Amino acid sequence: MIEKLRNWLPLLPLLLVLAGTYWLDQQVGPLLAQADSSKRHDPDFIVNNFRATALDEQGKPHHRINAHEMRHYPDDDSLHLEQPEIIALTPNRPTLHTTAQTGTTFHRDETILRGDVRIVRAASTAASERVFTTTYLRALPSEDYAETDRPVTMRDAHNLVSAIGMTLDNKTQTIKLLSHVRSEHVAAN
Amino acid sequence: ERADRNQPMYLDANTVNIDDAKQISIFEGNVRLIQGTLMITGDKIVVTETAAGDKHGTVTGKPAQFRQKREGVDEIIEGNGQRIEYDTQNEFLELFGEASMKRSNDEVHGDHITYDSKTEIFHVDSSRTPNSGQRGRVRAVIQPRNESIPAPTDPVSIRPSTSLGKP
Repeated sequence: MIEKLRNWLPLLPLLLVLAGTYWLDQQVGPLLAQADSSKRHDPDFIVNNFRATALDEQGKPHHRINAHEMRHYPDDDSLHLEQPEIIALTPNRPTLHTTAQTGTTFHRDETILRGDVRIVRAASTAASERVFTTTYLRALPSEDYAETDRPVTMRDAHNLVSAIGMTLDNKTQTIKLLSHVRSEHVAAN
Repeated sequence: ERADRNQPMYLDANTVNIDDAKQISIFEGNVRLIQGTLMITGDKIVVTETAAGDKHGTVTGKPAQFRQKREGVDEIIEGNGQRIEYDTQNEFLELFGEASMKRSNDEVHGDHITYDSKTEIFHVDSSRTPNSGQRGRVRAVIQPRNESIPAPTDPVSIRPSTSLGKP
């Protein structure tokens, strides 16, 4: 029995060396792998008093996005905006002015606005100024389109309308209120 | 009622499409328009609005119905038709297409009824029926005023007279 044991004896130092190198490798390993920030949602740059003008194909200003503060996130190339303001500059129609508490822009266009969202359509010869208020709005500034599925109110000089859900297309200047429409028209005397 | 004119107008519907350029709003889905005692219901209302805020509504329904209390009298005027035109400025109502109007129990039927709620006069006419060419018929049912019938007293008791000739 001892005979058999003695035959295995030379193997022992080999095992020791093996264990030693494995241990050494473990110690060194984590040092090489740096703290990689791309996995976490961290901004890589921050802009204060952010003012941006988006141009259309002909190079003319199409809409402006301003914000008190803008943070850019490299991991999904999104922008976080504080007090964002989107001004649509589409020609020959009243300007459309959207403000909110916060906004998040994806792919440099689709912007989700949250927190007392207000859209103000300036007065025109045909109609008085019209103000929409809601709590959430998904805006596509480059397509002059915005929509929400939350309760929305629309007010102008003669009407106060409340509904749930709205789509607003500034290209065709049409507004659709999607359900539970209640409107009060003040008699103009 | 005349006071309806300067009452706010309430409009309820399922959906509305607003053309912001031409100021036309199309309300759809069991639409109800209420102004003071006037109520109009239908499937769809197209409201055009002037800059001053005066509105003209075109109500369509199967049928579109209208109801209004009469001035100073606790009576209701009802009417329906395939299409009702209503104008907030001059309070003028027009009913088109198998229109009928009921005031207490007087009834009027025709193709086209115009009703001016200021003077409470309504004018009924029937358009020339396309096939026969002669003017369509206007049907009116005017109930006699029931106050003129004396109240029925209890039946007079009659006894056969026992003697001839003497009252």
